Amino acid sequence: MVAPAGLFMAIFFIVPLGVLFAYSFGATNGIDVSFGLSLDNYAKVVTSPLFRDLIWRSLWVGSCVGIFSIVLAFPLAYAITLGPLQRAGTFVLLMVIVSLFTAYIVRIYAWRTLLGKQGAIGQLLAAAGVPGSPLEALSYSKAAVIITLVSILVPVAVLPLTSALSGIPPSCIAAARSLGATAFGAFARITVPLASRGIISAFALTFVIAAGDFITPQLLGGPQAQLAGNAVVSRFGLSFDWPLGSAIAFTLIFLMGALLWTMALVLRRLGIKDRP
Amino acid sequence: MTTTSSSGPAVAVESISKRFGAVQALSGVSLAVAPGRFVSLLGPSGCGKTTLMRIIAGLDRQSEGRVLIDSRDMSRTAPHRRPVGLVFQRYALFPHMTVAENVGFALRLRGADRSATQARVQELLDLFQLGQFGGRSIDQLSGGQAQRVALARALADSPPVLLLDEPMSALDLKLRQAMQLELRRLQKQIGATFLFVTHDQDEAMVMSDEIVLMNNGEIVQQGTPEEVYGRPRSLFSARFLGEANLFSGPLRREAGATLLDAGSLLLKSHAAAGFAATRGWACIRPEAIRIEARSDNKTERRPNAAAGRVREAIFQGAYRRYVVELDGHSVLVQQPAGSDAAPTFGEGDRVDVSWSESGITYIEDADNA
Repeated sequence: MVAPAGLFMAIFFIVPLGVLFAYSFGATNGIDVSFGLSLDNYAKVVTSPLFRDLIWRSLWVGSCVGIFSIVLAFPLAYAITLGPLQRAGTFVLLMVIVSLFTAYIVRIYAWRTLLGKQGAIGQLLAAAGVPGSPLEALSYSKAAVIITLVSILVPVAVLPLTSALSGIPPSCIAAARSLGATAFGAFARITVPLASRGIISAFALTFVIAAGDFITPQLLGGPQAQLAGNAVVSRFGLSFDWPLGSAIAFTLIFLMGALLWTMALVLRRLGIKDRP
Repeated sequence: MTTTSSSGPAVAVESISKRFGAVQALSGVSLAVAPGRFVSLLGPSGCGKTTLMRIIAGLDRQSEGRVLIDSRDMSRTAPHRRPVGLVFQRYALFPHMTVAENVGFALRLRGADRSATQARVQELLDLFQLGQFGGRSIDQLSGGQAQRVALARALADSPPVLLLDEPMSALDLKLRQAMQLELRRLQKQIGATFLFVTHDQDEAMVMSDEIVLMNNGEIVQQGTPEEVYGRPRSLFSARFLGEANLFSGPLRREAGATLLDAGSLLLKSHAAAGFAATRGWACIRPEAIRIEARSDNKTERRPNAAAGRVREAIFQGAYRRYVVELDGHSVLVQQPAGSDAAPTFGEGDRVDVSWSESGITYIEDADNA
């Protein structure tokens, strides 16, 4: 069973990624790519303020999206597993999964009609006579990108959180209460640590998707909220500099991996072990 | 170890009712448990015993009525402020903590200092023969060990009242029997009040000072195991605790005695004071019936005796049981089996059965029979 899966991974994931990784050490004359062992592309990524900004912004936007998605998804996942909506749990989960089937691009355009310069919210506020344009700051900004990505990724975060929370026996929480824990104390000492795997999974999933996204910033971000993905796309599509594009992509992948790993370590220290 | 501020009941509930939507889980339950007693809430599943326990612990809120713990009204007190420990059916140990961390949880929450916590945890682990297990994780424990950890954790902060929700149900029979005696000893040793929820009548009888028998959200009968077993007040009590031979018929009074006419059988005994029903049941426990070889061929009806034939004879080690076919009735008879015991009978043997007046308990004909 492992062999075919391994073969599948090799053909469709490791080989293409390996080719790109090899590109990142090569060079281009604008037409052909020549392989090599040069670190020039990585040097460009690290020294160029443009790429540095894009990559940091990607990690920052990805982290914000991950955190906000969890903050919004957790109450829902809690309500349908340990909270008051347990009976409706299957139905709610089904709705969450159905929302994932809605085309991503459709949802981005939907948000654009709300948050855009001529968006519904802005016009409503203007019609209500709100002075200035409070939404000017929202449209074509990092905030717009984050709001949109969070709205798209909350359902993604709900799934691992639901799975983790449904594994917590309610009697564990009741036991903590009877041993003197307040409702919040039991939540912090029992529920959250026992759900930590789900929290890490939810963050990893939403963070990786958000930090690697390029469509949302392209449609909603404006020039101040482009992400590393946009730079990668333009290297591959416009300037035809595949080696530099690959170097940007791998720098981002490496930093995302490092961030997730650090976070998992920190959370394990804080959450999984509850020592006096 | 345990302190009580007054001599009143350790736990009292007054007219507790609980509805879950359309379901009436408890209706008007009142109960007082004296300090230091081992009291079992016994009843079939769904009778409301676990709900009553959760209401006392504050995990569920009663629809009506009051909860008093140590004579203080705690009807609206949050669970973490009630001085009760709780042991769950599946123990509910915290899987992300070691054995010692589980046991010390209540002490850490209370902010006890570290060395005091460690000392108390070790004391408890030793008490439960878990001295070496402090550093183990929960999934390395056997069922019996996990159960003892759950007990140690619930007792760590010395609650005056311990509530136990069927804590033995996941153990196998041998271990369960050993734990029953261990738990009983422990309760005497620490002197706390134990309120023990179970559906197992043997468990309740072995351990309890007092049994509170529940059915359909109400307390059916309450008393020592001897009282509840020996003097059932309803058909439910008679049938739920142990086995019962039950005969129904009209009742009449004659020279201070009460007679029940069950067709071919006539039963005669003294009914409890105030018992005035004209129809009812007589309950005779199987071990209260004597069985002898048929001595003559007389067939006239005598009170508290009958002639019959053994339909089944079952050897059960410590006991012999007979199902005896009477004229229109059959009775279950249980006799101790031993070297100096009464003669034994085989299937088809003709026998006389009889019982003394004190072996009979009259029960009123109730609608809920």
